[in-house]
Order: sequence, then C-alpha cells, then structure tokens
Amino acid sequence: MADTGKTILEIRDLSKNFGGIRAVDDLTFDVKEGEILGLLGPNGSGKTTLFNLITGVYTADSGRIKFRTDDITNDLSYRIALKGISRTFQSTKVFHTQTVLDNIATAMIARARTRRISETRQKVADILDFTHLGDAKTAIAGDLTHAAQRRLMVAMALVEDPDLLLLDEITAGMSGEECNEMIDMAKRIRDRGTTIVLIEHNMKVAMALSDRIVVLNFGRKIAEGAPEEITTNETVLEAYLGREEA
Amino acid sequence: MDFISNLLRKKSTYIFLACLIFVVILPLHSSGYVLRVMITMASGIIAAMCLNVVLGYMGYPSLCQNVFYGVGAYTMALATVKLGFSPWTALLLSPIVTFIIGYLAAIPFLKLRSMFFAIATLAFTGVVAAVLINLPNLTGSNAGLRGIPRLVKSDITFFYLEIALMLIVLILTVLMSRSFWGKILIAIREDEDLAPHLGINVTKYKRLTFAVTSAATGVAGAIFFSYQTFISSNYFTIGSSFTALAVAVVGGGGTALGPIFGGLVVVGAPEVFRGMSETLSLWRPAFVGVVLVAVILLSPGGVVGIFQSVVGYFKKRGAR
Repeated sequence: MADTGKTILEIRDLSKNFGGIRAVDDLTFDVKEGEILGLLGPNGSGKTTLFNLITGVYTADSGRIKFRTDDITNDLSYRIALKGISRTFQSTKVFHTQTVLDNIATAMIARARTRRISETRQKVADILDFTHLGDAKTAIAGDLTHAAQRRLMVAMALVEDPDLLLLDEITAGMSGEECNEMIDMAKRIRDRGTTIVLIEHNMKVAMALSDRIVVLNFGRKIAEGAPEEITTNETVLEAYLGREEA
Repeated sequence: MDFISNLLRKKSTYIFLACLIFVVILPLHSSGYVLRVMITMASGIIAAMCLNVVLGYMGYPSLCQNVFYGVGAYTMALATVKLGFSPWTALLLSPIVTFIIGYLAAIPFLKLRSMFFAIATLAFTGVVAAVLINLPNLTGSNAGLRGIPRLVKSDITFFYLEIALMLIVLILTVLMSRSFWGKILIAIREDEDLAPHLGINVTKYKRLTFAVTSAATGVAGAIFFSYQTFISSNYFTIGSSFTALAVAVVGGGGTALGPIFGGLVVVGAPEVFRGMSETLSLWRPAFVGVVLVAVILLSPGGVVGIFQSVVGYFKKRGAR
C-alpha cells in the first residue's frame, strides 16, 4: 500500500433521500491517496448512490464532498471527470457499435483534445496493452465477451491516468480466473498512482484488494477499518455477513 | 498535402467528381419543370443533411426540421418584404435568427430523449404552424407573402447556389464526423449516460449541434423561398415535418452521403410520378410511407447501407 496519509477524497455528513427512503445517511469518511478502499454493504445500502453523488449524477441533500482542495458537491459530472475522477458502472457501459480502438480514442479525445497524434497513438497502445485488449482492438465492443467489455470499460476510465477511480462491482458476472485477472489489474492500476474506491460483492475480491474497508448499511457507515478487523466486527457480521455464519 | 494525395488515390474521389460534373451540366439541358424539381430536391436534401447530424450522429429523432427551414424562409421574406432589406442581407440574417431560435428550442427539448423528444419536437412544429396561420398581418397566413426578391435572376444560378450550399454542408459533415466533435456526438448517441463521465459536456455539444444545424437549414429555406418569391403557412404543416426525417432515414442515418440518396428517392421519385400523371402524384405520401417502412424493416442502414452491402458482396467474391 502506497498510503501517503494525504486525503484525496473527503466525504462529510453526506445525505441523500429518495422520497421517504434515506439512501445515504449522514455519511462521513476519507479516502487516502494511493490506497484501495473497499466499500461493502448489503444490496440497497447506498454504495452505488454514493458513487452517483461523488460523480455528480445525483445532487446531495446535505453534506459536502471534497476532492483534494476542490469542493465538488453537486458539481456537474463532466467537470468532476475532468478534475481527475473516473468511474465504471455496475452494468457494463461502453459504446457497443464502435470498435475497441474507437471507444478508447473517444475517451481520450474527450479528456484531452490538444495532443499530437503520435502521442495519442502511443497512449492508446499502452492502455490496450495494460488491459489486455490489444488483440481485440479492431473488434466491435458489443461483440466482446462480458469480461473483455468490463476491461474495456476500465480502459476507458483509465485514459489520462485519473487520480481517483471508482470501480462499481467490476468482477460482476465473471469466472474465478477472470476475477483474478481483474484483481491483478486493479493492483497494477494502483501501482500507476491511481487511488481506487471499489464496490464489491465478491468478498474474496474485496478482501484481496482492499487496504481499508468502509461498510454501509441503510446508507449509514457501520464500520471502517482493515479487512481483518471488518471480518471480526460484530455489527458487520450481524448486518452483512450474518451472525450464524460467524 | 498528405490529405490531398490520399484523396487522389481513392476511387471514390473520382466518382464524386464525375457526379459533381454531371450535376453541374445537368441543368443546362433541363426543362424549367425539371430544374424546379431539382431545386426543390436540393433544398430538401440540405434540410435532411442537417437533420442527419442531429438524428444519425447524435441520435435525436427531431421532427421540427421544417420549423427551422421556415424560420430561415420567413426571415428572408419578412426582412425583404416588410423591412426592405436586400435579399443578400436577409440571407445573412436568416442563419443568425435560426441559430438563436434553434438554441432556445434546444434548451427544453434536448432534456428529453428518444420518443419523448420526437413528440415534443412534433408538438413544436404544430405550435409554429398555428402561429404562422394565426398571425396574418405578419406572415400572411394561408394567403402568404408575395414579392420576395430573388437572390439571383436565373433558375440555373439558384440551382448552383443550392448545390454550393449542399457541398458546404457535406464537407462540414465529413470534417465534423472525423473530428473530436463527431466522436463526441457518436458518444452521446451510443451512451449519453456514460459520456459525461468521460469528461464530455453533453449539454453544450447537443445544444450547439442542434443550433448550428438549424442555422444551416434556415439558409436552405431562405434560398428556396427567395427562388420561389412566395411563402405561405401551407408549406409548414405537421405532415411536412416528416419529409426531412424520411429523407435522412431512407438515405441512411449517420452517413454523410445518405441524405443525397434519400432525397433522390423520397423527393425526386414522386416528382417523376407527378410528371407522368396528376393522379399518380396524389399517391406521393403513400409512396413515401411505404418506402420508409420498407427501409426500416429491410435495410435499417438505408440506401447507403444497401450500397455498402452490394459493394461488400462483390469485394468478397473478388477476393475468392
């Protein structure tokens, strides 16, 4: 873990209601630069809502989100992206009728419009290599396997090396081998200097990847700590893992 | 220089030049009626080319293209007939007015998507049609406004003017499709929810694209009604708003050349029927409807899609 102790993302007293449902409830925690923070919680605990609040999809009812020195609470999604926060989605989102190369080129063009073509080509080649998509670069994204589409989604989020990457259930629907490949990729992303916050339902993946874990239940933080602390935390066991299994 | 030498190496460049020469020579040997059909067709094609950017590249099925065609046309008519401007000054005014109206319309409408956007833009066409009918002092209503001065004297020059505008729109569409703007529009079409997370200011690009294409459509309308010297609200009905959509879809959405082929089929072919008999011309809407349904069912890529399939088939055969 390359934790420098510096806070990259600060969530303070954040709340979001949908009608009578309190999806995120007075949430406070920090993400440290260089770490992989796991976000756990049962279905409906507010994990994806939190991602949507950080990336400007939803507006917060109260509270504050600070990215480095910028207050990004309720800022527009594209501005947040340009500040250096990238994300992936629970359901795969890529440009299905376009080639892999076009998908990555579009993501690159959207973030940095002024660059020499040779430099862009080199960067695209690097990303393809990094995400093991080199052989599929001329394939139509919609024709790729599920795992390759998930890798492509990560590749698009990775262009221009974001400072913070939010991964939403990146191993969903993947086989054991594909999960391992994704774990390896997430570690390599961190080694490139990108801080990661990940939502993960696969406990093996969450434990293998996370330096620290925050557990949510009904939108509230019920635990925070190292993976080994979380697995023995009584409140977490009760709310999420289940008392009997413990 | 690389760009030009690349162009010179392509067969399609020579085919395009041959077509262009044919189009330039064609009116010199055409009757007045045929020339009129060609001017009408060229004007419709320009409107469809502009719609094609909004529909084919950006993915928004607009049904108010003829509103902008009308705004450009009425700017020409009112600026010349009521305000006494020269037609060339009015021609400069028409894209400015249309751009502003297009941008203002984009603010509420582009918050909607797919069929909701289509319905809202259709309703907008209805509202504008009602306004044109109900302001007789300004628009002349059904009786119309007469005496719009001509930009140029001869019909042939009008035809060349339309072709020049068509070429400009075609070149700009091709350049746009290869630039970051084109990539961004395709990203919006493919997944509008993903695009902002890549750093794309979706709202800005959608509104600007809608307004710029509206402005170009306005110029086409201004030129056509200056040629016609007469304008009335009858030209801008809800029904007529489907023509540009039919031209764009039949030609092949999202392809630069699609609307040209679409215009030949949707606007040109029925005029040939009209030339044969007046009764046949009454079947024009039915013809357009049947062609539109047939294309959607059999070849969603339109005429260009069929052409690409045929070329692909022969290339494959040649490779065997």
